[in-house]
Amino acid sequence: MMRMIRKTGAVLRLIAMFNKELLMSSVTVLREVLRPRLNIRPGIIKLDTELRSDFEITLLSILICLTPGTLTLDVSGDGKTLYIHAMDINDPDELAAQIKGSFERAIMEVTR
Amino acid sequence: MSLEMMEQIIEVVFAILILLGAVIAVISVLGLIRLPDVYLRSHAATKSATLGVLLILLGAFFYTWFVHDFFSIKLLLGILFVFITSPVAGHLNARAAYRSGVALWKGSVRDDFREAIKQERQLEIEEIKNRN
Repeated sequence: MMRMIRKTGAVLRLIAMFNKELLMSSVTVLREVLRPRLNIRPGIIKLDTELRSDFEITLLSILICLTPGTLTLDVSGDGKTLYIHAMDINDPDELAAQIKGSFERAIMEVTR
Repeated sequence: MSLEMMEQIIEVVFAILILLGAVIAVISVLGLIRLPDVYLRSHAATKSATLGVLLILLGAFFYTWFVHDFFSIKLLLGILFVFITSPVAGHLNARAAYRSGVALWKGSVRDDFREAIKQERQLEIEEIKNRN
């Protein structure tokens, strides 16, 4: 019973966090699109994920795709690395750490 | 405040929600035209399909719920299906584009994927050689 309550809380937290990310990154992308001169630095970054099962990795890549500004390009054959196309990269490591810190952790709380 | 006035205000709030969704869809079409390469354009396309559609359908959902007193499961299912299908479409488009050799925009700053693809191709070639 306690476990079920904890899981429900984790799912709700994941949904809330996704909505927050969705709003924030939407505003960023809209601003970039409306700027008179394009000032973006797109690129492809590597994300080493700690998630293992197919379900977890699928969930992570769907959430990354749904968030504007980032797009999952491919998953390596062993499922350990995600290649993400990002619209504006300031610091590649920081971006990867941000995705790991938010989505990956929240997904782990749901599935484990 | 009378009940009628309340209803009026609620209607206006949901109308604004739907209008905001429509505006976001228009801006993302602008992005579809302005952005330079296929990957960036698919960013614009996924954005309209998430926030824009989410706002429009949510506005319609709350409107039918509060004003017409009708809890529409169809609209919620619409949001769910858009959220399931649009990332898959975006991912597959971009993946197919990269694998068939569409170049990144010249302003791109980083490409971690090229190395991985190269290695994969190399492995495939070796495998074919070993088989023969």
